[in-house]
Amino acid sequence: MDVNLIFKIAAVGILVSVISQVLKHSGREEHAFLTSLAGLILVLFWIVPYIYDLFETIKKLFQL
Amino acid sequence: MLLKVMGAVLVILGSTGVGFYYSSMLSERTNELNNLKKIIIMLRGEINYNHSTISESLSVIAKRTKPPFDIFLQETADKLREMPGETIGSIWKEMIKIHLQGTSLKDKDIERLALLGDDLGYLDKKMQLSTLDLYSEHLEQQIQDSLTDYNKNSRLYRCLGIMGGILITLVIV
Repeated sequence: MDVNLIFKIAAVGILVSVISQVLKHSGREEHAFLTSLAGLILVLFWIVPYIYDLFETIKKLFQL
Repeated sequence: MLLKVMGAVLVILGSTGVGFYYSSMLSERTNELNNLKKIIIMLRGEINYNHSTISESLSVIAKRTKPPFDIFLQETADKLREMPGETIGSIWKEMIKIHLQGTSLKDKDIERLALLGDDLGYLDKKMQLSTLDLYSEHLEQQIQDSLTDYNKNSRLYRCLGIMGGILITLVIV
């Protein structure tokens, strides 16, 4: 895991929130919601492998 | 590294271009509806004062109109002059299909324009003028709607174009 991932997540978060605001301002709340959801799924897609590794490490550490 | 930067720039430029293109389509629609309104006013004048036939009127108006309506009107006038045994309505619709499909007009604008063809040449001069007046009122409403659309959506499309490009770059890189 490198530091770039944190910057990427931060940039996606900012962009998604700006796009969401622009869409809400134009009266397209559903599209804003879908954009936020898409951003969340994208970030989870990046994060889930590391969370999996974390749980595997904890299991090995405590020999569970 | 340089390739990545170039790719990112190209993606952002492409996405921005798409956003600006959709924004310009909105203003183009307003311009084309205004042109259509001018055509209807001229047609009304031709029928009211010159008492000319539909094909003559369309031919005269074609010379005073901007593309793509000039070719549409001229081809319709030429086809009507040939007298192929079809109705004005069917010739009008056929020419709309050939010449006006690639324009910025929405489907509902084109459908309503096609319906006008069915009423052209029907009964007397008074009836035709009333038909054109009715269509003119409808056009005025469409122009107002398109201006509202433009004010509401043009900035949105441009913003989404730029930010969408940046988001895609972030995901890919």
